[in-house]
Amino acid sequence: MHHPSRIPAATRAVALALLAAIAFAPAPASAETPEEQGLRLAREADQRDTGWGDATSTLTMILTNRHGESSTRQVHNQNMEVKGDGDKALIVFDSPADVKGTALLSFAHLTGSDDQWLYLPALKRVKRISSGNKSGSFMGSEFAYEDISGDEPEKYTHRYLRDEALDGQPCHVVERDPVDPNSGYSRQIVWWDVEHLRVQKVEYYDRKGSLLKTLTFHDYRQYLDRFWRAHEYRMVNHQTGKGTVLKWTDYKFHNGLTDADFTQAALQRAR
Amino acid sequence: MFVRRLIQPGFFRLIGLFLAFFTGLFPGFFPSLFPAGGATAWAAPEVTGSLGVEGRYFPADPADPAQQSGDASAFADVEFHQSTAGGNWDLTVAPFYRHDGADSERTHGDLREAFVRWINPRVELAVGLRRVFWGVTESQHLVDIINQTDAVENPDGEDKLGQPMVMATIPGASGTLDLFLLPYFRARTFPGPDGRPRTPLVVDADYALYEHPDRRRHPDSAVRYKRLMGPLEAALSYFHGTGREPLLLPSATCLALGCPPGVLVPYYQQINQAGLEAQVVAGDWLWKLEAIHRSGEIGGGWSAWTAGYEYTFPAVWGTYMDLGVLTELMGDSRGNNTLSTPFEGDAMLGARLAVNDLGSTELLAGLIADPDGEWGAFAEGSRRFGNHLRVELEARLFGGGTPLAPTPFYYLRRDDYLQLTLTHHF
Repeated sequence: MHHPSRIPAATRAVALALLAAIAFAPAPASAETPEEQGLRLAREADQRDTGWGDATSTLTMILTNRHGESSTRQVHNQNMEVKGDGDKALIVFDSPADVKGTALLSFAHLTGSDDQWLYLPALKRVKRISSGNKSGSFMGSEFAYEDISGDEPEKYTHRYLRDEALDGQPCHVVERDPVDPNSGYSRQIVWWDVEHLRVQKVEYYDRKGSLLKTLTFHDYRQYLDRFWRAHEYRMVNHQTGKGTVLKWTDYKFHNGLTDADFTQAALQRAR
Repeated sequence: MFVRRLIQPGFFRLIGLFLAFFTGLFPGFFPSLFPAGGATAWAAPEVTGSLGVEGRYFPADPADPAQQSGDASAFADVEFHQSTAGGNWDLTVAPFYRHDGADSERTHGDLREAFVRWINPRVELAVGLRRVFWGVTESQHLVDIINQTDAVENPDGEDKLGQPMVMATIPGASGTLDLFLLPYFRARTFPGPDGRPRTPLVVDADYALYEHPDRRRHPDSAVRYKRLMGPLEAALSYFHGTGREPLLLPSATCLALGCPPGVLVPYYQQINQAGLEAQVVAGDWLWKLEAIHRSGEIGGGWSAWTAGYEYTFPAVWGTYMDLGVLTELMGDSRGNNTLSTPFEGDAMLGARLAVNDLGSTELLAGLIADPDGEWGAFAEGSRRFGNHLRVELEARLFGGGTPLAPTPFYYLRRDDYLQLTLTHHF
């Protein structure tokens, strides 16, 4: 609650001079539009998470319906960064027992649809999945495929909104609108913390513009002295009352994975 | 007869490919077969599988008084798997057994898989019994030929017997090559006199005739090359050897050869089959094509194809339910009169609803019909209760044809059934 009159006159004069200098300077940084600022933040956040190479992890999903009943699913993942394109991922289901051994191979792309294949162990069959299906549920959870398939800046148009504290942590707040017409969302609001540009919260608005879901990120830990990974995601669907918690464990980086670990042959022998 | 086998060009080419492969590439890998550390470390073994009970109810009076209106059975489907710590070698053993209360032929066991595999970035080699699926369409699997159908399990033909093989998978920059040597033939299973659904005359599966004097020991061979080109995926395959689909001969025609009287006898012919699979993904659309040309059978060469699409409506009706619809058309150069297949000029309409709830509830329904009025329909629904139990309800209906113009489904017209399965997965 600083009142201007409490600032010493000399300080005020210096501040005014600075303001004047900024106002008349040619092409100053502050001339950045909200769109440019949003894109810059998204690119910076993406850039800070570039170079991790490959990773493996285990994911436990806890699905809760509106009556409070819950069901647990577990998968293990391997992921690999691809230069100039989206990541490659291989996901193997561990539980429930009736889907154990089912596996999903996914090649994310910066633009256009992702490539996805599902392996059905009972039939020994690899089935291509039409991947316009971005808004479909991932494993019956409150997460859609597009929520977990990567945050590449190319997938959105951005607009910086404001800075604000989230649970005491200073954050940049940016609106982003999906470019893909198959997206299930009209827009998303993202909170990135100022210090590390880690995503802390996302609000998802449905095609009609109503708030659909809120996702929050918890328990960030740093790997390789550089890369931050949240170990718990909490998604709440405001329209259905259902929720999903994702818990990540056993993160391991630099496993030496190559393209050969992300083929249909690798998908068929994954377990 | 040996001479006849030698002059089969497909077989000869494949043997050549195998020889070139083993002599040319294998020695180069030899050092890595024996890691410097000495004893190989094995990872913890893994046992998964399912135990289940199944009941079937046939509402119509049976065509044969030997058959019952109900059937109960229990089954076990277990898989044991172990790999080396580095993952270069693995062993899979998957026995299956079913005890059936009505049909002694459906009481049967099989080693679905029992193979050792060596995995290397340049080649994957497997020796033993395996199951391999080829194809992209849903209504029928024309191209799929490696494994024999375990026809007593379900008339949908999706269950397969373990096939002895040596299989090499060679990944390349442009595509993946699979080579198969199939040294022993598995004969198709058929329902016994008490079994339903079945043909009016019982097929005696214990007795079979073979075109080739080596009978089950004729070494079959196959090759498949699969390529991914952006949204298009295509595969070409060739099979040479004993056809998996038998011709069913009235035993009166072979009594002189010792056939038992009053039954149908399977006759397995030497065939060559070229197959094509193609699939294009475009947004929510999946376009599919399978085509084969088969030669060597009595009556000469023939071709058949299946083509269609699958379309997915994600998150239908503002829910998390996914609805998939599919349409497939089938053609067969043998024309409408053939009793060899019910799918000579048919269309299939199907729908699949994935509810995406806690119990992963799924509903699947389909109708196959041809212009002559022959038709078959099915509906399946399943959901999980708790973490281990899955309950599945299935109905199958068959119709069309007349006594004077019978069709394969005409013979099954009294065998419509409802099936309930409870499966405990572990």
